Amino acid sequence: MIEQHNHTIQVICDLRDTTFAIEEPKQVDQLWNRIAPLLIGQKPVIGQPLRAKLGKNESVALWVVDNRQLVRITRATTFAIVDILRQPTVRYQCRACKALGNLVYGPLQCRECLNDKNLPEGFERLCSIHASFVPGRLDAYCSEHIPHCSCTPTCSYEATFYCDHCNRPFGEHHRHPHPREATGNKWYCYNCRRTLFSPCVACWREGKQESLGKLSCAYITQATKNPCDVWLCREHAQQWKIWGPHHEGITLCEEHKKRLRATSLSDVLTMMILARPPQGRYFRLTNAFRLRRILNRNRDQDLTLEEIASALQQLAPAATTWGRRAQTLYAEIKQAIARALEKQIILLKEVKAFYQKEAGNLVAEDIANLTIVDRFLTEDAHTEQIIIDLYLTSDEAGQYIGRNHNRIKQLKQHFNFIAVKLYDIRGGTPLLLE
Amino acid sequence: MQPELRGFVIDGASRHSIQKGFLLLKADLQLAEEEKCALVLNRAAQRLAGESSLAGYAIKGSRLHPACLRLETPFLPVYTVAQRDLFVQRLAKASSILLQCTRERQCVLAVAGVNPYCKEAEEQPQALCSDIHLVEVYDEGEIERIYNLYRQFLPELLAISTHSAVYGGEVQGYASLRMKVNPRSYLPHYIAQYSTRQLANLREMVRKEHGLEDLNQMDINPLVNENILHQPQHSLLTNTTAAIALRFIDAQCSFPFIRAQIILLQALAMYGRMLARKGRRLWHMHDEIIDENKALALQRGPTAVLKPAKGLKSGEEYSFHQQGQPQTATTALLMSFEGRVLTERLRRLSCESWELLPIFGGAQLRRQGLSCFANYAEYQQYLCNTQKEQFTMLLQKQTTQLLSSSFFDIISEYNTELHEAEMQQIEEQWTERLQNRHRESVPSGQHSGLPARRRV
Repeated sequence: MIEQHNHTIQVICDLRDTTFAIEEPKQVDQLWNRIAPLLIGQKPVIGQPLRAKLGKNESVALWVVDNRQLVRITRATTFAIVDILRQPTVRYQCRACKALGNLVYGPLQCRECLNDKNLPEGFERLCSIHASFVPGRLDAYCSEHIPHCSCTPTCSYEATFYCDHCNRPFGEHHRHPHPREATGNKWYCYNCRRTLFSPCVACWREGKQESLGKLSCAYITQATKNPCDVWLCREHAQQWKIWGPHHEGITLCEEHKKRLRATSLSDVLTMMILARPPQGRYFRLTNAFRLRRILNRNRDQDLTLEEIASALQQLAPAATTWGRRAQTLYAEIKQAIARALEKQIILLKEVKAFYQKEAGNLVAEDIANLTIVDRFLTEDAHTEQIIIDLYLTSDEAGQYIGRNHNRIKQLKQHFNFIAVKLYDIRGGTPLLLE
Repeated sequence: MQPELRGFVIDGASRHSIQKGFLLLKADLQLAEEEKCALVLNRAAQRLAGESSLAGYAIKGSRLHPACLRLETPFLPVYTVAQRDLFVQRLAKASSILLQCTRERQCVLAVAGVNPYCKEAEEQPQALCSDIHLVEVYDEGEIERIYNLYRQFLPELLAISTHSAVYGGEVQGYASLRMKVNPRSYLPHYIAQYSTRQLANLREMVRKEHGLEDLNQMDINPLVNENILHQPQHSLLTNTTAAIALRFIDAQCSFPFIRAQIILLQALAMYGRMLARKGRRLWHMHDEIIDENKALALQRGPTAVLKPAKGLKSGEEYSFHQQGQPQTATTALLMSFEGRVLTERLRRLSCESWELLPIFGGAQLRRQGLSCFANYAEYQQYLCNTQKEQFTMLLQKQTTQLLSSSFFDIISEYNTELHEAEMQQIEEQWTERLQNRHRESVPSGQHSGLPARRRV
């Protein structure tokens, strides 16, 4: 502790230009014994250092805090040291400085080196000269791990900012300011700026230039590869509702909504699979019959499950390039369609067996094909109710209908069919429509 | 024979400066207008310039409100009792000059976080008055540790420093209404890697992650004159020096109380300095716990029950958080300074027990469950509740008394009057605790002649 004496000069001992390490009181005494004789005769001025040169390159400075109005230091002068400034103990050494032979404190840690368990402890340490930063973040990096622009996996430009929206690093070539902020405090990558600030194309045409387009048209084909991406406001965006009436659907511009009917089945399925579904409960596309209903909504001629299966098969090469979610959905839809087709086959056999039993072999043999038109579940979801089309190789429907429609009633009751339509497969002529 | 080394401290204190806040009021106790403030300021500045002992002192107006005045001291040493005596005496002298100039213009000086006498026209008070303490720092390593250490202790220090419980003659629901309404008060965030070369980056990060545009507006500002540290061979002990500013302390009216605050702040800085020089870091305390405790402290003041941070790890005990139990703010502060680490720092400051009594006296009495005042917010509330009719007159009178004396402390007087034996015991305990048992190589010597004990 420092006691205030009448003629005691208070000083701060500055050892930062030396290699002295002071940890114990006796080291202070030893140091003092060396420097004290060198102070005699010097003039203590408040705020100025007294110097004691100890070697070629080592000099101790004693900054005078209070000189007690003494003019000159004599042998009788007493001192009190109020603080000893010195080089801090370096527990964590900058590895770059270490390689150069310098012992420098490394307060910063390379984020990537820190996460690498194979590196020795302390290897991640850097000083402020050797650490690199991406402006806006305090994560430090060594020269080998400076983040690169994430616009593409192979972009070699160093990152110079983090997008304020997606929080990914980007290089200077991707820097875009906020359209209304002149101060330049917010920066966005190209995609985020487009997502956030693209104007609605339709509003723009109408002269309303302030309107932002928050939705983009998702229309895509095998030929175009990329979605339409026209940006629209909620007023001008069309919704293709595939997930149920209570959710938004796939956004399409007016032009592509009209073109949807003429779009190939593969392209339509691609759009449905790639579109991100809403949160919460919604109508799943993995219900084969619901899927077909949606697909048939805009068509003059209804699709069969076989046609859908075929279209899905055509998508197999493209599906390998999709993300995991889309690939999973694609596989599930294929399975659902396959199960539906299998069910058709089983149902055909069972219907044939029914007629064989009721009307004989010849009648059963004339049943060529069966198509499940649609399927519903009862409210308790336990019972299926099915609509079928039955294709015959004869135009004589009498044996299938029965007197007073008894046989067809039995068929419907037995298999829980809601409706049965009979067709002559040779011409597609309907024989019985219900 | 050679010059003798009488004493030394290896990791010592640094110089201290204070920007003492005042509110200038008209005779009707409303805030004074700009013209009147300018007149008082000019007169006070002239008088200060004429006092040779007050060289370096300045009186300035605040950019934020014309009625807020600041008395700025230079950076002065506070290593010994005598130096602290001098610091406080000069501060009191400068305050007296300001007080006289105020009277000459038929004005009144208030010293509290907000105007205790009259409300302002706006819904919330705009004239906010604080004492800003500046603690000198020498390098980046120190800035990081000392800043983070002050940050950890912010709730306790804030709780003890609240002094705006009364506004417009009415007791408010907050011990520090000033901190509650201050639009320029921001929680200081943990700084893990402080480097003056990366300040631009630090500012940008804080702006993006915490929405804070100006780092200088954090309740603890580590960037006072930080540009000085960029210079490789910068001189020490200059008038302009790098410092850490503590902005959360309400303007205090008692100089002994301010003196005790200075000692506590310097002791914490000494500990942070030691950590920096030994290459050690401070455990990271999350923003959430500090924010929560800060909110409790500014509302309840000394009686706030602070929550402990979980998992606080340290080789040595220096904080109540390490006990893992909630504590009232006064007890939390006491527990920290009763620990070996901070007691040692108090010893190295040659601290005497009476210097700490304005804060620790009330804190210890409170811990013992005795009724007392722990700080001036409580005193304000007491005065307002019990002396409703005479509150204005009494507070003015006492403010004048307090500002005119470097050793008069009302709450110590009151606590001693109520619990003389206990206060005596507290003083003795602290005297015992502060005796330097582990003497560094210091030969015994005589004091400068100033009395060792100063009883109020």
